[in-house]
Amino acid sequence: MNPTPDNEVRGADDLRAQEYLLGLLDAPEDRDFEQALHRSPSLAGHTGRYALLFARSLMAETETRQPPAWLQARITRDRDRLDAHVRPEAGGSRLWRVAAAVVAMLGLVLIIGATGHQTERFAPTREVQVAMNQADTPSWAVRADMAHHRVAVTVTRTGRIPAGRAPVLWVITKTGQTIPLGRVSTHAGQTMTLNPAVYGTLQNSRIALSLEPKSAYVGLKPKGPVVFVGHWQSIRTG
Amino acid sequence: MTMDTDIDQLADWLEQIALGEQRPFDLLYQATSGKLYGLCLRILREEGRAQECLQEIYLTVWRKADRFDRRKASAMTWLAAITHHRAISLARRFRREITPDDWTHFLEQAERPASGTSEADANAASDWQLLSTRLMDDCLDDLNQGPRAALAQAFWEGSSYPEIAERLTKPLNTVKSWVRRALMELRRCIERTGAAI
Repeated sequence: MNPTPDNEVRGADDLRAQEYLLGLLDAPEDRDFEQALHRSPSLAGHTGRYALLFARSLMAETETRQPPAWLQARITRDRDRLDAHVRPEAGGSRLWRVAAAVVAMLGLVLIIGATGHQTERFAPTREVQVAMNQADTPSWAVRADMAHHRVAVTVTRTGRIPAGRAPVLWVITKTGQTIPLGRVSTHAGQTMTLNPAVYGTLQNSRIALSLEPKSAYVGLKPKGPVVFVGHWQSIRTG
Repeated sequence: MTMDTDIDQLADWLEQIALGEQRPFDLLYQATSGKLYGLCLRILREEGRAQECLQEIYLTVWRKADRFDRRKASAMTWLAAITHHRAISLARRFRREITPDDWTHFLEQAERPASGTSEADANAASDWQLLSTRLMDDCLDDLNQGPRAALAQAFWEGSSYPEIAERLTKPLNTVKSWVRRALMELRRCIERTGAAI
């Protein structure tokens, strides 16, 4: 261990570290800082220390909110799916480590697909074109990779939203349950990728768009008007 | 979860999870998911995205629990640091390259100011953390009203500069100046107490 703290991390880098943790940097600055973290162990250690400090304070001020009960089942299922392919690295000389190593050699691509949410190939098979029935309003292409429960939302047309409102996408399940996917951008070309924590509900669902009060908390049901509901369509290939 | 009595238990569970044991994972989820979900909701303000956030965090815990080191942070602080980073990443429109799994690597590199490997040093970890909590609160309280309000939006709500400017109805550059000044003062305040960052 270094006997002295990272005193050499000063000034601009120190400020950047704090801004990064709070998500205050713009996209290029954020990317640059992440690259700097990879290059500089002292900056990484310094930023990590701030992260723990901030986290500790945040925890002291955060209220407990119970997640829906089904979420644990979803997480357990995904954990077991991971487990079927590869085990965590730590541990003793258990047999599963040997098995994992064999699996790793035989099916590297499969393992990457199961463990790396960020690097997993996104292979959409269904889509919904979302649009509002008014001129000068934005539109979106919502594509889903049903196999991996991933959704990509691309703004296909820039447009205006009524003042004080924000567009929010929803999944409506076969039984009518509404699950919020989140607020979406209105600037053409932007894409956001989501890993919605829905449990076996994407396949037979519909996609809806509502106009929620801007900056308001988005709960489990739309508060604003629902301006679009559509079904998934198969994406034609070739 | 009762913080005082369960800190060691959470750390024990994380170490067992690192060995691939499922039961401690379930117990850890039951003990900590409410608090971490609250943090996700606080930053994301959307149930769906908060659920996505929580799911990613626990899968990271399953994969990377071996990176937890009880000498550097309590289990809850470690979990919260991963959660906060992920929630902030999900809240921003641009894509961050550093994933929750990666982030555990950077947390692993974080060292306590009083470094060492002795048992005494290890026992001092919780003291440092408690000191830090008090310091943060005191230092935030010491800031002037404008910078304090702006930093509070960033710190407690996860707001971006444009969002803070809109909420405080102040020009963007003013808000940036306030927050940066507040962050620099925060560091100076912490250093004045001898607990170097």
